[in-house]
Amino acid sequence: MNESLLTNLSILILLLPAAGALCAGALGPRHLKGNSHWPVVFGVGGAAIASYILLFQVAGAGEESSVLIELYQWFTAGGGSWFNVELLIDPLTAVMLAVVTGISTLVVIYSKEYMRHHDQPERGYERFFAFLGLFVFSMCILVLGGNFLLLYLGWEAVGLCSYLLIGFYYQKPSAAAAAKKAFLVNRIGDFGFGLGILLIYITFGCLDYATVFEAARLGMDHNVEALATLMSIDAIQASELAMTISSRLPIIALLLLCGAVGKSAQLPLYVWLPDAMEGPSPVSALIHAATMVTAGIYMMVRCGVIFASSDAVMMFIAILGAATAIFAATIALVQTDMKRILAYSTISQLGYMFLGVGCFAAGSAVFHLMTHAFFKALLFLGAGSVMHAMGGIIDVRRFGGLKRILPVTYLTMLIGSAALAGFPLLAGFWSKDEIVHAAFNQHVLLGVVGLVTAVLTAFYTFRMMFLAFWGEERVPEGVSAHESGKWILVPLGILAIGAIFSGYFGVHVHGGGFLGFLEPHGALHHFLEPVTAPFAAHAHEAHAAEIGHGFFAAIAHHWLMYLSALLSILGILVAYVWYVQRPWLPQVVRATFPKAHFVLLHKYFVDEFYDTVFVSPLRRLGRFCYQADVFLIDGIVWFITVIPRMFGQSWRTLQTGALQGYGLGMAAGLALIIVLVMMTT
Amino acid sequence: MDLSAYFPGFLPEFVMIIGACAVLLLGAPARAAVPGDMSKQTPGLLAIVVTLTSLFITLWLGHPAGGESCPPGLVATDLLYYVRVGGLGVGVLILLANLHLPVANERAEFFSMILFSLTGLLITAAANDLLVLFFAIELVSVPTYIIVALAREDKRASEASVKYFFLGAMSAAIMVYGFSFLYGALGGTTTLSGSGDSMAAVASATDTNNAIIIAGMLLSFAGIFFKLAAVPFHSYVADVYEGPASTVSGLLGFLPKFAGLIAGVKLLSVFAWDVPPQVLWVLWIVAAATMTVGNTIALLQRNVKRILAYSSVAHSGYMLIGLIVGPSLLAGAGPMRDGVSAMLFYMVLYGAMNLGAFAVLGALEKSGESVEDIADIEGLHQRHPGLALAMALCIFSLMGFPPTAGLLGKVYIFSSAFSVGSEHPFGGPLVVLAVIGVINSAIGAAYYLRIIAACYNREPKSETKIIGGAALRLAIVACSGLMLLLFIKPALLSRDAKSAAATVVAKDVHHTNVAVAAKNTASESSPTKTP
Repeated sequence: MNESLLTNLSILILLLPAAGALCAGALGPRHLKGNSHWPVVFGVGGAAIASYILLFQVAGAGEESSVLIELYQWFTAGGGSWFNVELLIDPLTAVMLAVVTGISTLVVIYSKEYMRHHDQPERGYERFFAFLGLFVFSMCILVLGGNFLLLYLGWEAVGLCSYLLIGFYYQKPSAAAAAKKAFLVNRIGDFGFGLGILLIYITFGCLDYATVFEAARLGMDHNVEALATLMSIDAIQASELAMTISSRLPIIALLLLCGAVGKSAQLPLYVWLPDAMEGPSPVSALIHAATMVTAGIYMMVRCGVIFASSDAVMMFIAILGAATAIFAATIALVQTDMKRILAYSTISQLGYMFLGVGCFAAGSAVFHLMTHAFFKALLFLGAGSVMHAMGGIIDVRRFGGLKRILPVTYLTMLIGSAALAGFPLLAGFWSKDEIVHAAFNQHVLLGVVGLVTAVLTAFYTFRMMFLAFWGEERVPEGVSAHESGKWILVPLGILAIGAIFSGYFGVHVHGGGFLGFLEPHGALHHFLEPVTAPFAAHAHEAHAAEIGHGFFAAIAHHWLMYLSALLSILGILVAYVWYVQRPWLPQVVRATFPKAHFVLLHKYFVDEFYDTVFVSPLRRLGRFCYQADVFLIDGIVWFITVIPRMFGQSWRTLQTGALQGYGLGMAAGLALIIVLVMMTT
Repeated sequence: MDLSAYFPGFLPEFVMIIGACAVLLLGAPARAAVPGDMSKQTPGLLAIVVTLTSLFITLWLGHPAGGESCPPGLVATDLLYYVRVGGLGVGVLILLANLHLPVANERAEFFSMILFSLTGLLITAAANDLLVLFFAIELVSVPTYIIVALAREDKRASEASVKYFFLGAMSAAIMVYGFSFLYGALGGTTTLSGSGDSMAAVASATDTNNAIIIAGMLLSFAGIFFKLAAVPFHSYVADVYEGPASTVSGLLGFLPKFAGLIAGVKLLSVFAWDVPPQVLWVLWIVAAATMTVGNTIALLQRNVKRILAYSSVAHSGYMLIGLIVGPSLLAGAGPMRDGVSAMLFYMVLYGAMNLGAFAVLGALEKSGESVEDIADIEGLHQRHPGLALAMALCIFSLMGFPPTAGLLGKVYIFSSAFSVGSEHPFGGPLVVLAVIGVINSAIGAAYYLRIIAACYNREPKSETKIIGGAALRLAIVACSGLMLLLFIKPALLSRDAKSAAATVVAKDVHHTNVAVAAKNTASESSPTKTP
């Protein structure tokens, strides 16, 4: 691979969004004003172009597709090794970069129109774009970083940007509270994540991926000689180190998992994500659907050596993912706020990705991450377009039948919904099916949960679509609804194309397979193989062996694909019957199962539970500490300084005495030191 | 005597001395001949040109090769190079920040005094003779007494100047008294180190654990403690920093401190850090007390200048940690395990961030009065967002909070102490000292955050307006920008600090410490620390 080209590209990918953000932030308030989007559009767009060139470079490189670029030495702590600013470019990074910068570009373009009302930029327009640029920069650091320190830096920086953007409308108390909640809940996960990185440093003495992963691998294999060579230590130390590594890796994995659970909104830390919808819709689309929340999955795939080493941890991840997937999907069934439905759907889909990782199908998880980025960003941006047209109202009970008013939005969202529902041949179908397949290989229950969630997903997605776009045309009073302009519609169109076709990166045409010619586990999986190898090495069994050829054999082999296609269509049909054909049916169901509906509507009372069990006691503790601080600590501090201040007061009153006083103090201090020292000699 | 032989090695110093005299001489005729604006701006601009010239010559000359012919009592080392780069670099910022001062007709004197003080700093770093060292430190200090008086037409400034002068004179007397003890105890030579007849050579050949040497070191360090504003010689700072204009206070936190620390390095390098334990213990106690007292008193202040003054006391304590740890005496030691390079790095960093914070205060005015109370900067973000951002960056850096260089500075200093290891004779106490330092920087966060909260979380109460020209604003931007830049790429400065620290102890001196350090490095060279 052309290393200098890659270096230049990756520097461009980092610096362009940062420069755009800086430009928007510095020049925006005074000079650019309503044009503040331009630097960020160019910065992020340029980064996207560079990312795609980089992707092609890496894809064309064949076997040697991983390059470590050492930009410079950063700093050291103690006598240990240098922490470097180094970038790792490999297939996973290339795919992540392409997704992040591509979606970001579309979202930034979309925001140009979305963040104005009647062609007037909203308050804080330049602030919005500056933060967006900063977010893209941070996210690029997160996925490009070649060691755990840069990963952590990017991890925290995207968290900060998320906080700033959720609280963009900080005058609104609910937005400020949501931002705070997101930040604090993430702190819980990040605490574990930080400890995990610390434990890595204590165990391995360094933080760079290459050494840590290689040492972890050798340590698990008890390859003492190679380990001794790698770490330049003698054999006895190496065998000790190998013991330490094999005993500590599961703990490290669990600690890192804490971070992933927080950032990727899994049980039990998912509570911040629905509230994060207080931020502007482009933020929800970019940060809370397509990119930042997938950082946890990226990190787990990146650290495959660490995670895959322990079957128990992997099983835990799989169960966690499956539980989150079905849990969030059930809540989404009854929500009425479009963005919240999508938020719970995001949690549920992230659960699928966790399930994929936990079932050793890391390639499928990244595949789903990519397709999900397209269709979920599309759905959020579409919801934003609806919200824009409805004057800020997003509750599906207050409008309906928007099909004719918002034709383009409707069409693109329909594609996005179908992809999310797993409609055959669309993007979501391929990636979700692979994960369910992997889950069946792991444990039959996990697979069943995956299938049930798929039905629920199809149902709640189309419930939302039917309520919003079908039926009798209703708009909230005083709203003159209109279709959005081209800055909004073009990104929607591009994303819709992605929602249809992005699945085919992971599918290859093959004699036999789904419908006789489509076979999953295609180009993308092959491309990612160098990164996902640790998972493959630990997978229990390869996917079911080939059962002959021909159409019927293919059906027998691909029964799961046909089944999930059927279930998806079934879910959509049920939604159609309930919400279009017989709109009174949901009422009946609700009346039949009032308790279940009540519990779902209140999201299983998790927020209330956390509030009583954690938040209130902590708040009381905080109040107590504050009082202790005010009375006790301040009192002690005051007491400590009361003597110097008494001197100070007395000197102040005798103005002429001050100088002599200082001199006397100095002389007395010196005399004291000398006397003390001379007594000890 | 033909001075031109020394030009290759000491051109920056020559430029500074000639420039300082020129600025001073320019003042009188300029006042008489050219009334009006010309005479106001010329001295300051000339001073900046002189300093920049000297800085560029430094960079052009590069690191001293070692073969330069040196005047008696001076030596050109990487330490001198670092002080030239760091001192003159911050010096330019100091001049920029003070360009609009003083109000009175004494600009020529004011700026030439700053140049003389900077010259003194460079000579301190070059000194290889006890007498030269003493004169150089005083060349740093004496002009600052005058600067304090000139900076503002105010009774408070004059009072501060007089106090500062008398106490400074007293400390100088104590220091020179200590020097005389060392002179007597170490063979009657004033040359600090080098082959043949030098104090270092005598010290390495004799038992240094005797009362004269201890007394000499303690008295000398008493003088240094005054320059550093370390406890118990700290009581003057609040009055002296509060008296003059804010930007001058920024200067006071840099020049004498830097000179004092270098003097400390020079004195300890005579013994290759193998001083009697009593001296190390006194340094230890002073460092701990300085951090703690500075931070505790700062907590109680409401005047921002006083907060920063006591924070300056606390920072002297942090830097003393690096001084006690000393340089890493072996080439193979980890890049930042040596305290001297951490201290040198932190000192320049501190100079810039402290100046930046003071300069923001100096750029504000409230109905003709200078801004000092914390209530005056409340809501600064709403009135002047740029100044508030610069203030936040500098304060975060003082606090040691990412993404600013102050974080790395603290990491370097504390980790140098942590990494000394248990086999070092003073290893245990140093680790305790670093823990005290870490606790103290947490305490410090309380009052630093109060300043930031005032800027960002409060509504503006008083009508402040911006004073000072473009130069002051440039200085503020540079100081705060430097904090970000050095966080992203600390090697710009730390690499030179590292090479400077490597030269402070002569290579041919072998002390017991060296052997100990060698053992330490051997045992720590393995990258893993398996329990």
